[in-house]
Amino acid sequence: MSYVQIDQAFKQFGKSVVLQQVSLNVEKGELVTLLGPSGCGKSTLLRCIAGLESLDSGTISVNGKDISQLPPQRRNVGMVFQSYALFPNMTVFDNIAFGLKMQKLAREQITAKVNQAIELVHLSGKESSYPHQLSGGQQQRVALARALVTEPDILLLDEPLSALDAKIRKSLQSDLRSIQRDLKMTMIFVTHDQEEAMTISDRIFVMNNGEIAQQGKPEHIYASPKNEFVARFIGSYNVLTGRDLIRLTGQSMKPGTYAIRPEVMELHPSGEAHTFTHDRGLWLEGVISSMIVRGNVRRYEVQSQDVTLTIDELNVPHKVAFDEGMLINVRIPEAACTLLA
Amino acid sequence: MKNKRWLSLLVVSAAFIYLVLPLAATFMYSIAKEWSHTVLPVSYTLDWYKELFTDSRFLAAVGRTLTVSAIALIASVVTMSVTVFVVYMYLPKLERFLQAITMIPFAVPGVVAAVGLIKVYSSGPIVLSGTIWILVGAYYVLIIPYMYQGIRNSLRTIDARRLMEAAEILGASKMKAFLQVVAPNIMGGIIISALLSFSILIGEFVMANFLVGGSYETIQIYLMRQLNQNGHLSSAIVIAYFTIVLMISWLMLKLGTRFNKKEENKENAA
Amino acid sequence: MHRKVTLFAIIALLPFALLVVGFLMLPLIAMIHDSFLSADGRTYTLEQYITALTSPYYSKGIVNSLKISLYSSVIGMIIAFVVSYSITRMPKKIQNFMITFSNLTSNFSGVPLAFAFIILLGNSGLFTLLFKEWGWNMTDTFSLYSWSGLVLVYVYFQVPLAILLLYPAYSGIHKQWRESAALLGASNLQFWLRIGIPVLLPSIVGTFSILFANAMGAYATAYALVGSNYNLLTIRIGSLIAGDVATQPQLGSALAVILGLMMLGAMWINERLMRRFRRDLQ
Repeated sequence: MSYVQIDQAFKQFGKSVVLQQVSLNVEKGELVTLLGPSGCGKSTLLRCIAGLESLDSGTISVNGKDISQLPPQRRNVGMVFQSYALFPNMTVFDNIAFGLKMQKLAREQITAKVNQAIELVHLSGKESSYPHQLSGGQQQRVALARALVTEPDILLLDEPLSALDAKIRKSLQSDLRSIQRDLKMTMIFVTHDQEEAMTISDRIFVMNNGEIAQQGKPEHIYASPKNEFVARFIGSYNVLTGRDLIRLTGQSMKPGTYAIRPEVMELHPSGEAHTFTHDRGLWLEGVISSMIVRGNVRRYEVQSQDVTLTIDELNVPHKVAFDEGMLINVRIPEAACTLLA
Repeated sequence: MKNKRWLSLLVVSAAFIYLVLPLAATFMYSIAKEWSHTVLPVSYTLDWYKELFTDSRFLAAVGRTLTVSAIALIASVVTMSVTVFVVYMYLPKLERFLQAITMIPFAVPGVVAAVGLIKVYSSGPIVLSGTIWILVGAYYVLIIPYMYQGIRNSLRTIDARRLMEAAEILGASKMKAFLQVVAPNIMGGIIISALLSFSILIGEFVMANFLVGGSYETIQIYLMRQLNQNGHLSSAIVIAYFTIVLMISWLMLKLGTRFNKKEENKENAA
Repeated sequence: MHRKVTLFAIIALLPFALLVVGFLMLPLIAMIHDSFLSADGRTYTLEQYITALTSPYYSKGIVNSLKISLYSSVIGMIIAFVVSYSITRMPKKIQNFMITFSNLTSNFSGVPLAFAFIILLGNSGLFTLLFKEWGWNMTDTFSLYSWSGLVLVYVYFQVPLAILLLYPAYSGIHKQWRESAALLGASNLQFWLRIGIPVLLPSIVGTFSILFANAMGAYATAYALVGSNYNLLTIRIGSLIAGDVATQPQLGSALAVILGLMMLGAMWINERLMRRFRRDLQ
C-alpha cells in the first residue's frame, strides 16, 4: 500500500468537471510533480489533498488513514503557495513559529525548531525582518520553512517558484530538492513548467482536462510520450500523421500519429551526395524558413510542402549554420518516430 | 471550509434595509397625498413634484446652486490641473508641501471655515460678505482635496513625465505637449473628481447658510426653510437631490470602468 | 533658461496660491488671531479660551460634542465592521451593489437626513405610529429630539462612510493567509486574533479617526433636527457668529480653534497608534 493514495477523485464546479476520477499513488519520501497547462485540474487536486476544497466523490488517504473528511487543520499537511502567503504582521521568526504555537509547544522547543528551520533555508540573520523587507526568493524560503517546521506528513507546493525570476528559481529548485532528500519528506509539487518538472521530480503525473494523461519517471515521459498531448506539452515534439510522413518521405509507414523529437533529425545540404541505401532512415526535402540561436542549440523551422518541422542542432563553432531560404535534406532515424496512442 | 453564508446574507440584508429605510420613507412622503396620523399614507399623488418644478423660488434656488458650483468647479479644474501638473513635472520638491496644503480642508469643518471667512471678508479692504464670491471661494477650498487626489492619480497612471518627454522629442512645445497629449489623457480622471466634487457642493448647507444665507438662497437653504412649512415638498426636493446624486455616481462608475478598461488593454498589449 | 522655467512655474501656480491664501490660509490665521482678542477687539487676552473652557455652558458643549462623536463612531464602527465583512462574503454583484449603495447613502446627511428621520421617528413618524398600533408608546422612552435621537441619526451617517473605508481593507486580507493559517492548525478565531485583526488594525484606527472628526465637525444634521437648542460645540460656534442674540466673534473663534485642534488631535493620535500597532509598516 502506498503512502499517499488518491482513489477515484471526482470534482466539478457547477457544470464543468475539473477532476474526472483521478487515481494516483505517491510513495513515502518521494517528490512527485503534477504537471499540466493551466486549468487542467492540478491545483484543484492539490487543494483537495490539503482540505481547502472538498471532493465530490473519491477518497484521499495518507499513511493508511482516510483524510478526505477532515478539516485542513487536522490533516497534518503543509502547503507552500505561489504568492508565499506570509502573514504581513509577523516577523520571519513569528511566521515560522506560527504552526508550532498552534500545536502549543513549549517556548524553548519552538525557538530551537524555528532556528533549525531558518538555518535549513539559509535565512540566518533575517529572523526579525518583516516579509515586505525580503526579496521574493527569501519570502518563499520563509514559506517553505514555515510549512516544513511542523513536520507534516506531506508537503504540497502550488507553483511555488512561478513568481520568481529564472536565476532564483534555478537555485531554489536545487535547494528544495536537497532539503527534500535530507528530510526524506514526501512532496507533491504542482507546476506548468515542464523543464522544472523534469529537473526536480522523482515521478511526473502529466495532467490534462482533469485526467492523468501519463505518469512515470521524467526520462521515461520525455523519451516515450504516450499521446499527442504529452508529446506536445513535454519538449516541443513534432507531431505528424503517418499519412503526412508517407507523403513527404515516400516511404511506407504504419497508419497513426507519430511524435518526433526536434534534436533527433539531421540536416544535410541538398547538394551533398548521400546514399539512401546504407543510410537508413526517412529522408525528406525542405526549405529553411527561420533559424534562432538558443544558447547551445540552433533551432530551425523547416518547411516541407505544407508541413513545418522544428529541428534542433547543436550550436558548435566549426559547424556552419544553414541560411534562411536554403534547400536542405532532412534525415529522420526510423527508430525516432514514436507511434502515439 | 464550511461557512455560514446565510448569516452574512442576513447581515447584508439588514444593513440594506437600515440604510434604505430613511430614503424610502422620504420617497413615500414625497408621493403621499395625505399622511399624518396613519402608519402608511392614505392616498398617493405626484402633485408635489409638479408643484416643485413649477415653483419659481425652487427653480431660482437650483439656478443659484448651479451657478456657484459651476464657477467653483471651473476655477478648480483650470487652476488645479495646471498647479498639480507643474509641481509634478518641474517642482517635485514641492510635492509634499502641496499635498499637505490640500489636506487642510479635510481638517476644517464648515463652521470653522465660515468663522474665518466672515472675519476676513465682512470688513477691511475687500468686502465679499453676502456676495456669491465668498461662497465661490469657500467651495473652491472645500473641493481641493478631492480634485487634488483625482488629478494626481491620473498623472501617475498615465506616467505624464514619459508622455511629455516623448511629445517634446517629437518636436512639440511644452504648452502643446501639455494641451494635446497630457490634458486629453487626464481628462477622464478630472471629470470623475469634478463629478464627485459637484455632488458634494449641491449638498452643502453649512457654509451657504453662514456666508450668504440671508441674501442668496441655494437648494439646501430653500430646503431648510421649506422643512417647517411643507414636508411633502421638502421630501420631493430630497428625492430630486438623490436622483441627481445617483445619476452622478452612475456616470462616475461608467467613466471609471471605461478608464480602467483602457488601462487593462494597455497591460494586455504589453 | 532656468530663470524662464522658474518664472513660468510661478505664473502657473499663482492663481491656485492666491485662492488658497485668500480663502483658506488668511481666514484661518484671522480666526486664530481673533481668538486671542478681547470682546471689544482691542486688547490681546486669553479670556476667550478661559470662558470657552470654564463656562459650564460652553464646556458642556465641548463635552457633548466629544461624547456624541465617540458614541456614534464606536457604534457606527461596530456595525460597519460586521457589515463590510459580510459584504466581502457575498457574490461579486451584490458586493458592487452594496458599495455603490453605501456610496449613495453616504451623501445622506445634514438637512435631508434629519428630515427623513422625522418622517420615520418624529412625533407622528411611521414607526412611532406603528409601535403605537402595536400598543407600545415609543415617545415615553425615546424621543428623536433628545440626546439618544441625535446619536441614532449620527450613527446613520457614520455607517455608510465606515463601510466604504473598511471594505477595501477586508479585501486586503488574502484568502491564502486564511488557508495557510488553517493548514498550520489555526482555528477561524485564532486566525482573526493573530492575523486578521492585526492586519486590519491600521484601517480600523484610521477609519475611527475619520468618523470621529466627521461627527465633531457635523453641524447641519443637529441644526435641522433641533435648531440651536442642542448644546453642541458646532452649534455654539454657529450661534456665536450668526446668532439671534448679539454675536461674539472672538469667543466663536476661540471655540472654532478648539474644535480645529481636536480634529488635528484625532488625526495625530491616529498616526501615532498606527505606528505603534504596525511596526511592520515602518
